[in-house]
Amino acid sequence: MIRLENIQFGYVKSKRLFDDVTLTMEPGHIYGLLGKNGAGKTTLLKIMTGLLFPNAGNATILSENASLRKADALQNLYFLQEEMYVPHLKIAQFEAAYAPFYPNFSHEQFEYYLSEFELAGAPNYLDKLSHGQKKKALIAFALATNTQILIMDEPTNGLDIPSKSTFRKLMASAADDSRLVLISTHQVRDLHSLIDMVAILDNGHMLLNASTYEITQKLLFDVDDSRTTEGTVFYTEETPRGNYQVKENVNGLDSNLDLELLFNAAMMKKNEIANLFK
Amino acid sequence: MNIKNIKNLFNAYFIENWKTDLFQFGILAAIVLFGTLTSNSGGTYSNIPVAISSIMLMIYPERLFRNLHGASSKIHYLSIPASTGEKLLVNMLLANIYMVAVVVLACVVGYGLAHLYWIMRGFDVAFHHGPHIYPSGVLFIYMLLSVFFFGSIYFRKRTTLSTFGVGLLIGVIFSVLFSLILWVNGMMLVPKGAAFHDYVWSLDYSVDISEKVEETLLYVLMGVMIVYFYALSFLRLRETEA
Repeated sequence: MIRLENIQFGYVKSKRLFDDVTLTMEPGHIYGLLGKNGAGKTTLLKIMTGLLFPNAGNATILSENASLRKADALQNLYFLQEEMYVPHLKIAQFEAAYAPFYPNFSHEQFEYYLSEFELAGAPNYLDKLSHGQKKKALIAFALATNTQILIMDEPTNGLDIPSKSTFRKLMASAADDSRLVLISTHQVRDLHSLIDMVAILDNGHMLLNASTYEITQKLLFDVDDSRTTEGTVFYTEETPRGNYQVKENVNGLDSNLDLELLFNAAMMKKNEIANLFK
Repeated sequence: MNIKNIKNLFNAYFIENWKTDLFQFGILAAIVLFGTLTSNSGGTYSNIPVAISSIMLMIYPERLFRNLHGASSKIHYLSIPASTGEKLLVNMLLANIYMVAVVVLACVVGYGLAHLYWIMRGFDVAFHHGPHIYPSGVLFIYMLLSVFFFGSIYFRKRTTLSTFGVGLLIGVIFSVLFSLILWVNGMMLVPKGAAFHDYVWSLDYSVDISEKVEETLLYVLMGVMIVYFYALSFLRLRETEA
């Protein structure tokens, strides 16, 4: 559904942001795209959506060249950007203006999502709402479009704690086998229970692209060697509750994936983690 | 081209812009009304509304493509599910037909109201003809519109001013070049002892073609320029990145 092949890109010719990014994303999953600030997460999303053109390589979305921005592909793709633009319209007017572009848009779902975000019947113009409210209104719209591909850049930025819970609940209910959801974020704790595929971008390369199942098969998330002392330790974090560890899962033990620990481990031991998932 | 996408683009435009358009219509109608009422020409059509209408038409593309001039609004615009051709066609129709109709209607309303006022006041006012419309003048306005249309996609901010500035610069450069060529040629051709100025003015610049052919050539030239600038606009919009 989304395919990036040997993508090379740089805003200036002398400094490449991506050297050789290759990535395939399939429907039926919620992907979490993780990376440090400036790693190029937003840039990669823009390349996927045809908003930026790669210097070399191919970006394909729904079997179409992303750079062509064909209407058929755009109808099945919604990109929720981090810094949102909202026109001077009320929510109902926004729906009247932009919902017709999406053939699978559901008014009932939109109303439901708005009510879940406590925005139903909001009388204000969208551009007069707070940042969090704008974001919630656009998340509700994005979900109601029922596009095959939903891409969100830092969707939980600016949301209060109850809204983050609502977001996770709605995302979980909106995901299905025909839909691909890609969420880019550096707030990994917000996505912990949501994503089932993890992609980590670092230094112009895809460091990791694996399912949460595969990750917990190969890595063990342990505290103070409580489960086993075997396996290479990739990362240790001292906390008042003990030493949290990420180590090689040599005995095939079950553990709960901790995205933050995984990310830190991947940053500390790049080659080892990358080789483990090759 | 998908008719449904085109309809949706028009729908989105009118939902977002009808108030602004109505406001501009009212402002222009008021200018024409008061311009006509206060003119000393006895109810004849003043040229001021024509100038204001032309300016309104030239700055309209900047408003049509204003979403391209901000980082997040650009992503919003480029992500709207319609092809580049559909987006361009809709904005061309809006600039070349819809806004022209709005401007003409505002002038007609303003002018008509002014005459209505005079009639109600008991003045014996004959309706004068509006400004004489030359086909070449209309085509020239449409050619300028296509230039500003391209400029509104090409430049990132203050697009109307930038287009005007670059246009002016190109005009000045061509004038200087033309003068230079004429001067150099003149210097070489002027017979010894003759004054350069007198010699240049004595030359016969007319070409032996009929007025009809000359006029047709002018239309064709402007038509080519219009097509050229809209083609450039399409290519530029297609290559626009966020």
